[in-house]
Amino acid sequence: MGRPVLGPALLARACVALAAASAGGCVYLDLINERPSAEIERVGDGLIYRGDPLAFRALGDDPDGDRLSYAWRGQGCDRSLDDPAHVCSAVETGTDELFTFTVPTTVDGAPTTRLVVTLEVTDARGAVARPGQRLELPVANHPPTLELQRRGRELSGQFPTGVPIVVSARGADVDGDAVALSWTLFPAATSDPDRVEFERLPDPATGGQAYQLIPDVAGEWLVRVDGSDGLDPARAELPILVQPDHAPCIGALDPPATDGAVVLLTAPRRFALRVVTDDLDLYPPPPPGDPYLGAAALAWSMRPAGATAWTALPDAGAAVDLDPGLHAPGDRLELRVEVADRTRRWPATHPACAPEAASCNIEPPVGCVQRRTWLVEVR
Amino acid sequence: MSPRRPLALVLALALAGCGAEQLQPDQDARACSLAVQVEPGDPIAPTTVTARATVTGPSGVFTYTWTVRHDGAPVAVTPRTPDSRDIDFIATTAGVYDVILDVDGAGPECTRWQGSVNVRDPGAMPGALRLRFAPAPTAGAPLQERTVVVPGGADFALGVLALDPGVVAPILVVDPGGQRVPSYVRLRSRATPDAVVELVTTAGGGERATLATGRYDVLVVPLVGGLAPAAIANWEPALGPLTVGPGTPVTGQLEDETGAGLAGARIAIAGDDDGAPSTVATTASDGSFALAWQLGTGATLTVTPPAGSGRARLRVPLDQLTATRPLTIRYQPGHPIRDLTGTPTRIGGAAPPGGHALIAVELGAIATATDGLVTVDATGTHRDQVALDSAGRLTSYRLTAGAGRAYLVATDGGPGAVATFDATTATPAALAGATPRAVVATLTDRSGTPIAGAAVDATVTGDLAHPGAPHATATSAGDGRLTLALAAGASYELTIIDRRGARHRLPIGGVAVDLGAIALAPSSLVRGELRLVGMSVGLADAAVTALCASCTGLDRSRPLGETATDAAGTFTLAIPDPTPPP
Repeated sequence: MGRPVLGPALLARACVALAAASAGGCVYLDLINERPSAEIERVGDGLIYRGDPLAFRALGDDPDGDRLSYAWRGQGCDRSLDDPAHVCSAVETGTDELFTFTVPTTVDGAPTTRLVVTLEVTDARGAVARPGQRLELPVANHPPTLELQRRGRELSGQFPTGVPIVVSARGADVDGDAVALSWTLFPAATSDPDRVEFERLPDPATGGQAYQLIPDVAGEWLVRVDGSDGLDPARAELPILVQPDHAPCIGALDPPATDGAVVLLTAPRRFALRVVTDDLDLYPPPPPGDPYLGAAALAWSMRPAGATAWTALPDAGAAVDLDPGLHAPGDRLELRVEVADRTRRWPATHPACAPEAASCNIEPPVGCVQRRTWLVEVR
Repeated sequence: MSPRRPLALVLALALAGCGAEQLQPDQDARACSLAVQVEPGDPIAPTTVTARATVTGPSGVFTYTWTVRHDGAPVAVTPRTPDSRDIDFIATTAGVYDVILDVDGAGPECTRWQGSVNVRDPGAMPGALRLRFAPAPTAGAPLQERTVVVPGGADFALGVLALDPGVVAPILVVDPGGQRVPSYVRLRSRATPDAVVELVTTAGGGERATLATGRYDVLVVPLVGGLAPAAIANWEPALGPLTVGPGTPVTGQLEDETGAGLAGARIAIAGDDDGAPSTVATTASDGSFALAWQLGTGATLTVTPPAGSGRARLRVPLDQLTATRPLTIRYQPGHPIRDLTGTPTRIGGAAPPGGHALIAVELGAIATATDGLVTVDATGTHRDQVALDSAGRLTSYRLTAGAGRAYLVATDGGPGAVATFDATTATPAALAGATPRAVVATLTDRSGTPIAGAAVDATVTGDLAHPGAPHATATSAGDGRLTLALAAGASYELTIIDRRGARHRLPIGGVAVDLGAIALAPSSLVRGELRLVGMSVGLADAAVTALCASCTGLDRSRPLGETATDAAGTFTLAIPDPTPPP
């Protein structure tokens, strides 16, 4: 509470009155004006963040019932005022009982961490509330947030080896702080660092950063991104499960080929591979420019009747036309197609495939074969 | 087909099961059904299309939200009714307009309808197309074909195509005594004759096959002696076992110019498209043969002499002969055998070591065949693949005197060369083909704009075609130009795969050095979804092949476009637009 005080003007007037009284005149004595009292009350509660609009109310009182005037000052600072190195923003002022103030986000480029609000209350007779009111309030920081995304040839949540995976990270900060990102790759246990590509790509137009990862081995990989807004850290981790590049599977054949079953050749006829399914390399090929997928490689060979060796039919594409006119009626010839993906594991050279096997798979599952053979009888 | 025939409207009910099923008596009579009617039935661009929604079953006030897209871009809709139950949209260009209607308030089972509206190009011409569907082996469904008419001029949506899952039918082949006979069986659908199911019955004579509904023309070739192949028309599984009999014996004698028997030759009769072939006989030491045949018409008897004999293969038309009478087939004098063993070959002057030669000779009538009453000429041909030794010389090879062509192929790649030769009077000194030609062409669209990035494959056609013939490949550059190394003198077919995947076929014979500008038809995308009848999910990994509907022979099996269904059973197939150039 304020105490009664004598202001300079009142004091002078009292002296004059006392002098006059000692000379035999009347003595006039003005009433002593008392100081107003003041307190600052924040309207609302909760943590204060940069950019928040705040309101403060002056709780002023004057024992004399004088009208009060208010002088508000508000500013943000980069550190506590106890720190001599602190820097504060320009002062915002107010003269109403209610002072609204938006917390500056930065002070000379540094985040605002302190808010200082002062209030001076003066009554109509010039008495100022003492002591002055000053609030120094901490300004909280919103920690940054991170968003991580991956993009690639994803198959049931897993990625094949040797194919680019683009990992994009974007930091966000509601305070508007720049978020610095740092990346850490944790390869699978058996990975060879010299065979792993983890390179930064040009920054995406949508913000943030992007890296391209080409994993060399199957296993559990992890990309960690640490972010900081200068005040608080953030971390995001993206597990990437990498699977081996599976062997391609021969799908529909036209005509179908069944081990040991004869297909009759009575007229020129096309033997075609219609579909190869694979995690990466397909037939029919994907549209040009697909970032992940490629075309399956096909190899055709034929063993004429009575021959022991297979004759390769290079560049045959996806089909071979057989003409009975090139063979004798009753001849049985074999036509074979094999498929491989980019790993080029051909059944013809794979230890799991015996040369005489009409169909063959180089790895499980059994139903996924990389070799089919038609047994063709000429009529 | 007339271009005016309504063909553009596809209402592909794809989601939510709305309106696609008939109410069954025991179902809730108030179950929701959502349908959309589109007018006009055959919209031709530019036009205003009206879509009207009908919700049956539940009552209430519903909210209708329409979305129309064309080429991925939204199309503005204009309500025709205050509640937007009916709307208009303007189809400015031809193509597929995807329509989605979301209904709020009609119940959870009746929330969305989606379909496609095909809007025709007024200047386009429709074309028929065979679509061949080969389900993945795991699907168990039979290979099937549909003939569709695509309007041309724009992309086209087929909607949902329901394939026949087929029924597993026992295939039993028996002899007249009811004994089971292991056999090769080919079942040709009468509705779609190109959709063929083949199988081999087991040693016990029985097998099962998954067949689409319908009747079949069946070819049965017994794999044991004493029985003749049989053609059985109009068969269906309900008719029971397929019966084969001994057929009709066809006997005869194969003789050389002097009348001596020729041993070791294969004799067979090939029936016409609907007929059965005979058994295959090998002539005995005295030249006699006996085979079994289910008598037919339009057949040809072929004589394939033993390899290395130098005698030409004979074709004997049987239409004037009585096959039940003993046949005498005699090579006529005046057609000596030339031994070309060791004859050098050259491609542009260089020997192609270790390669091979495909030798084709048409000899005309070099033999006669008689049944004792009628005598006919038999024509002779050579189409022999001969290996080359390390010096590029023909390994062991003899042929009947005559003139022909040899396609010389090196082992180290390259297009090879075509050599003409005349062995009528003497053995040629060499088979020499010219240096391969660099053939240039420029791919453009019909407006003359170059087409870049098209893949071109050149395949040898005609009598020199064979599985070992090299393919020439190239990709068009930015200015549409491409260069192919082709063998001079050979005939080729170019398969040009544009960047959308459509396959344009162009035969070129007597290859010129500069093919000039090749104007490709635009490609259209045909899209659809495959399901098996009775299944609510799509048929994944099925091969979808677009094939010529009017072609014959091998051309019927050369695709115009091919793709496979995705996990949802949907496919997008690029084909050459059927609209001819203006």
